[in-house]
Amino acid sequence: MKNREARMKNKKNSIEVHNLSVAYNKIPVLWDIDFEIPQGQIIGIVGPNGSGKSTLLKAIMGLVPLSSGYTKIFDKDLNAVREKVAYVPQRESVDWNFPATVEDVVRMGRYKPGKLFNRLSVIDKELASQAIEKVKLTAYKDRQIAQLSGGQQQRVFLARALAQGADIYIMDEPFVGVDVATEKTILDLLITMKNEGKTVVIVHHDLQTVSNSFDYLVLLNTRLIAHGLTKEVLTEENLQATYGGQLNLLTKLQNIIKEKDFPIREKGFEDK
Amino acid sequence: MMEAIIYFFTDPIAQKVIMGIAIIGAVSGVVGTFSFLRKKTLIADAISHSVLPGICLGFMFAGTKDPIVLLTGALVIGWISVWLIDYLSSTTKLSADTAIALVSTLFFAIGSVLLSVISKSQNAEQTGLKNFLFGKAATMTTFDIQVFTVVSIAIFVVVILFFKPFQLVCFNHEFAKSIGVKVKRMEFLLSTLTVMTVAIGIQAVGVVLMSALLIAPAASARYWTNRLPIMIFLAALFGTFSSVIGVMLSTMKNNMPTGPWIVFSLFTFTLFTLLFAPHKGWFSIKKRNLSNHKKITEENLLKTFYQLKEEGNTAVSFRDFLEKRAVDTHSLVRDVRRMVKHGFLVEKDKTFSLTESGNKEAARVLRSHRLWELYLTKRMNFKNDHIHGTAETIEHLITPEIEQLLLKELDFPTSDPHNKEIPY
Repeated sequence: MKNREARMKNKKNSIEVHNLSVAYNKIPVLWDIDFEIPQGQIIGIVGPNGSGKSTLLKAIMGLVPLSSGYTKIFDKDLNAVREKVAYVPQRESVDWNFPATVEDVVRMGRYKPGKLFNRLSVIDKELASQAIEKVKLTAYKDRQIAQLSGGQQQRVFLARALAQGADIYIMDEPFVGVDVATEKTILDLLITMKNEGKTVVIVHHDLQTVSNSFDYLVLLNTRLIAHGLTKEVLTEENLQATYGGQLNLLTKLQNIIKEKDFPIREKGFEDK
Repeated sequence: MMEAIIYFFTDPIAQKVIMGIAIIGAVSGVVGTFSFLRKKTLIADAISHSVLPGICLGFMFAGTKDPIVLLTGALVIGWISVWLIDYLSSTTKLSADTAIALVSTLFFAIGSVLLSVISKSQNAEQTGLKNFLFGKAATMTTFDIQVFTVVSIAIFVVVILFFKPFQLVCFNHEFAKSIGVKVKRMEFLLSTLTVMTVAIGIQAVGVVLMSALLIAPAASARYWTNRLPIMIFLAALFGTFSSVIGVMLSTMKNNMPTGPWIVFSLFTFTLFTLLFAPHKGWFSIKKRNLSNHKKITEENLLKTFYQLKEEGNTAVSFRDFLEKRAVDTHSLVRDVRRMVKHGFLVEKDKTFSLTESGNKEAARVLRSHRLWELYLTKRMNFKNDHIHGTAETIEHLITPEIEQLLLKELDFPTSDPHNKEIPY
């Protein structure tokens, strides 16, 4: 309880994840995850494939049903702070053959649920153009999105998030399948954003690349391994726990849960 | 033929039918575009089969073919089918396509049973009900058309108002949800629009064939544009034209059912698109292949002449050429003649030699080939005996800009990995 009180006082958190469990296809992929991350930093959520990183982001964004726990952004429910949050889904999650140009997609970042029936204003269009400029795609703004390289498509998604003008940016694997030039563009942008006081949360699958750009790390492999400042968290022991394979016993238990279609929390049990 | 066309545009009843079918075609194109982009075309097919029992129940309830009651019946049952498909595919092990097949056939079977029950009844009104199977535009009354027009306008208004959320939901529903769009509600609305469109279309097109009018215009429109608003407009246009032409054809053919003729004209439009669409159409692809092939053949021809010249042969007969490069004799003669015509070769006593411009062009191709070979060994770690095949193709692709980059990167080399001179 003391912990919790201390937490309540500390208003500097960007995201708080409390007792979070999530099942995907009936298999629990996140077990009672519990951590807070600070504001104004570049935060990496890191773990091997299948460790539940993307699911964690989706849980934070309210895109998957939770088995237990809750998440907060800036100490509030997501719905209360949506306008301050920009989410960048995985590039593979959409069909790039959709009839739209770079500009069309980036302008989607200016769509606001309350004003969906209004036309975009001149300011909206200008902000979209600036976002395209920031990711260096101005020359491609009228291109159909299928005619872009993987790295360029990733930058389109980033530009759309920038156009949202949020305070926290939550990105799912932005470095997957991108060229070196794009990686550099994105990293430079992230640092600029941090210097403007924004919080950037990035899901990333390995620590070999770009990890020295993270100020803060959350190491994940179905369970929370460690979280904290990069230099403190990055120990041999933690890495072994994160990347040293699944826990055999846990995997066996997960399979039983799936086979029996068992709930993760008993009915009526409430997390404190 | 002319008489028939004049009839359609002068006879007041025919005019009304044409007006009705035109607006149905347009609305189908618009709504179908969203089904197409959400990859839910099979659902559209399932809905059109599933509304038959709705029509029958509506008729049994009202005792007449009152369009409002029939529409309501179609809407309710159409919605139940959508919900059932969704429920089955999300809560059971059945995949979406299985659920669609099961539900649509089940509902169509129920509809068929109800239809035969009605036809055995004494109600004199029931005679035209069978037309709902394959459609008969001429049976639309003025009141029917008025109701359909009002519904269509309502659908257009909804699409215009909800354009942005619909676009978001079709393209990237996770993002839509992340900015607070009520995705489930939007999907519900889109499904409702589909059900309504089917409901107003089936009298003219028929439950069996209605899905074609939803899907084909959108599928064709996608070939002609990369912008969503234009795609919607084109789909509406294709839908309208196909429907109007279909109705005209069916009326000329002794009042046959309209549905099949609309499908025929839709298919003609689609076929035309597949053949002639820019860039992605069959002819466009063929043309590209042909022009690539021609470029390769011509450049190889000149290159061979250059190589023969390097070996000392400046008056090349066909026999000389064939000894150096085995190609089909017939096409060689044809290609050489063409090169003579273009001024790249000159003929003298049945032998040929490069002109000045031919020489320049041949040197360029050979230069590209040898530069690329050098690039492969120096930058891509290819072994000397593996570079020729790739360079044979790439030599035809190297643009002046790439050539400059290669020259700079390789520091203006004078010989290739086989120690042959790079011609400048």
